[in-house]
Amino acid sequence: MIPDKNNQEWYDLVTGNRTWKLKNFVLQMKVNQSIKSIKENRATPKEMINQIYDLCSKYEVAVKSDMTTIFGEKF
Amino acid sequence: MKKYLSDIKEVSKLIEENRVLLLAGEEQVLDQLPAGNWIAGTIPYFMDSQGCLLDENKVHVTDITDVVVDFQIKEYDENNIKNIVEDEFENGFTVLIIPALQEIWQDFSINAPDFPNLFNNPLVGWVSGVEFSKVGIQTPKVYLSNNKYEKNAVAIHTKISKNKVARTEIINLYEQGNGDVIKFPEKGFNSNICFVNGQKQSLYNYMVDNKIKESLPLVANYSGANINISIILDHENKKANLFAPVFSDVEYKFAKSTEVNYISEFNKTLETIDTENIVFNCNCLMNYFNFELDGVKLKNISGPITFGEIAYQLVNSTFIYLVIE
Repeated sequence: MIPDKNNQEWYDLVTGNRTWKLKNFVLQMKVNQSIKSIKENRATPKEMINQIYDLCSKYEVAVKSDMTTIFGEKF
Repeated sequence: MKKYLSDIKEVSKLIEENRVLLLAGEEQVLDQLPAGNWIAGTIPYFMDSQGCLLDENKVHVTDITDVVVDFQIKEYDENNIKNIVEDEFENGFTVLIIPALQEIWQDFSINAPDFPNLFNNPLVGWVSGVEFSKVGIQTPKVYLSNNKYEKNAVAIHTKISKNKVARTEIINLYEQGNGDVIKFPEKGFNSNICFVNGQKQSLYNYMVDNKIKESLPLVANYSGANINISIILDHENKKANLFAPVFSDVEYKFAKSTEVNYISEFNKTLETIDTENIVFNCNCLMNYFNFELDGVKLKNISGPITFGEIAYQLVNSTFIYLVIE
């Protein structure tokens, strides 16, 4: 299960407030796009959290190690 | 997955059996193939079981028939390339082949990062080319079945089973060095003017003055993903020619200048991957030349060696692959 969207880590991830060493390519690219979109006011953090949550749900197995890196014991 | 070098006769037979194929080969070879469910691009460089090689008579075959449940093949020009993501199936992947140095190559490369929903499904592919000594003499081509295009791109959109997922990954052995931060005032390929640590400068002069090897790409860090921009210096016009676009909001650094043992590092990385699940892959001609890959076996990898690789956007000097799980 991907951690709930209300976790602070999602906000920190999509805004770039905190950075983690991610491994999954599409997650890296999507996070990069998210930080840029929010910075340029083309998307809200909530929208990007929804999009990245959906992406992580699709690639649940492939992002497992990144989820552990970001959420630690919550994952 | 079925990826191998073959000859015209065998490939023609596969086409006549209605196999769904991604092909690569020289123009005079591809010209002889019958109509069918295939797309292709021109290139005579390959990775294969006998090692990396230049072969102007063979065709590289990636047979995706058994992994797709539906597909659509489409031609794209600079007007409709922005719709490529919209044209995807809900669950699947798209393989795009673009001819090098054409307007569509520039258009896709510059605009793809802003395509809505870009990351919903893998968008992979490559840039077609020619034998290197024929650059400027022959033009790269792409094929939609046996229709040949010089200026347009072709793509195959595929649908896969609901219980499967397609995923793109890259192997890029370059990473940012510790040198100067380089930014560009405009996005695109023609950015010879750059800002080095905030100081306006010619990229060509910067590279020459600092003795930066042409073989080293500029590297951007996309939240951990290293994205390369390869460069060839034009000494006559004192210009640095870029093989992927730069973006004004991205910080670049030249790759670490330490020698990379490509073959050993690449094969080591491959050991962590289930290569049996790789449906499609390609590698860059810059890697073929810079790391002297001619004759070198890269584990059990087979695929085209190209003028540019597509992993959602155009990248350089990178091995890209698509897996279905």
